[in-house]
Amino acid sequence: MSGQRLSIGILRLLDSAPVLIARERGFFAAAGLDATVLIEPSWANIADKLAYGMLDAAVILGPLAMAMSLGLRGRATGLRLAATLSRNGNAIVLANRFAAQPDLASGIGGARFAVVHAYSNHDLLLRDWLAARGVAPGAATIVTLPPADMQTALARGSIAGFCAGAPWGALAARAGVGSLVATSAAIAPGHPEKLVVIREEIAAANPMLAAALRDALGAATDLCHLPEYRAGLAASLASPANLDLPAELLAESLSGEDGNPLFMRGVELRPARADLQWTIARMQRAGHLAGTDPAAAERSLLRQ
Amino acid sequence: MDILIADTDPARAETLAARLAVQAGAGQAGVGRIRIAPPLENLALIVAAERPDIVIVDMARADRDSLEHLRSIAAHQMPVMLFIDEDDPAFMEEAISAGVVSYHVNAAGITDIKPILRSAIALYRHASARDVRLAAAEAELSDRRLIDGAKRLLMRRDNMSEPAAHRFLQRRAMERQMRLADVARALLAAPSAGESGDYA
Repeated sequence: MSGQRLSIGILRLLDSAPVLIARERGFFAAAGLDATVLIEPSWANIADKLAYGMLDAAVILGPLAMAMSLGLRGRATGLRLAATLSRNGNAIVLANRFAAQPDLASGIGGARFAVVHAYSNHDLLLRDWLAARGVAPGAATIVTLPPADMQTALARGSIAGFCAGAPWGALAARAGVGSLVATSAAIAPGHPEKLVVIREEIAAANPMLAAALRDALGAATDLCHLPEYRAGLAASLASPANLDLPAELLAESLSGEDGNPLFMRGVELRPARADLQWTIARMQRAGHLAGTDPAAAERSLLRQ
Repeated sequence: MDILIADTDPARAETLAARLAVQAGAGQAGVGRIRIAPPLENLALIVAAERPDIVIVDMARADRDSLEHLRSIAAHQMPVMLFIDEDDPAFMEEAISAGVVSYHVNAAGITDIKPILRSAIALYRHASARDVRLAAAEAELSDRRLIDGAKRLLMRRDNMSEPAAHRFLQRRAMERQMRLADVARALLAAPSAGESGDYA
């Protein structure tokens, strides 16, 4: 097989589905890409491998892409935004004793909440939600846990709640260890969730690469939107080599409804300045961007 | 400096600890107490409790992300930073491709970290070469299982002969520019979607 060689890093999350579907159905090859998909165990791995050239592209969190561009986390790394892959898809789960409390602000002092990464939409959305419930910034502590560990931490009482992507919120609620109190689709409807970035050096050398990636991923997201394909897609995504999650849950989540990740199609995949501005405004409010030049990072991420 | 080793492979952690102890005995600067983190406990909590100066971390650990957030645990105001040598990207590439990184806590003696990380890289590189060979062998075996499974499905469902089933899979792989094993996997995952001109 010929074509532009491209390594793409993803995590084992529902919103990585279009990448796995594109690989399985030959959509990368059809777009002229000889793609290798690498499933990484952590966001830190995605960031480090992009920073040192062991990945050419990745599905990534907007705030992490911003932090990498600004050198806030590890080596400053030039990245270009190739696509907005999904919107919505996260949920906030609270321990049952807090969920039942009408006045959250008075009882939450010192409580710990978990998110998936320090530089994540989950962190920003959780801050928005806590602020809307009258919890003062700093009244609650935010820590990071792998999503697969959050349910246990909640059951043990070591965290009061968490914000994580689908299907982790639904899984915790189903297990009865907490209540799903808000989806991110309700907190910030249509917020940008997973982005696709390409390393600057690779993107600069191959100006058509971003469009080719969008073609391949768009063919995959088109399938996700067709109900008749969901069971088949979910069955193959569920395999241990792919997402290793229950197939029926994946089939439900692929609908994009009920706060599940909404996969972008066609021109919707094109990078949007408004999405970066959504991220920057919230990162600034959270104090993540002190002493940096986010406008410069925005310009370099949006280079075409 | 106190060193914490966080490895998914307990045997490799022991080996690294032993090597670092030997280096310390031979007078290498910077090596103090060496401890091994239990593989299944949350890394951020261990680091907050043990307060090492350096953490050597296996990149296969999913809880590595939690380390990068440690400064925000109110009770433990400890800046934990990924060790990067800006002047020596080749060294960092070597570490990452071997699958090991280190973090320094409270800006511990950065110049002493490199020789310690170098010992870890040597050990990890050896292990990862072995893992790559193992993984390749396993992948080949699982490819073969998938292809055999898909052939059996076609033979049973469509009364194909074994060579006909093989040709069917090969033709589909060519048409869709997919690997034979991936065609087999797709067919097994959704047998009913395999018949008509579905997702062409």
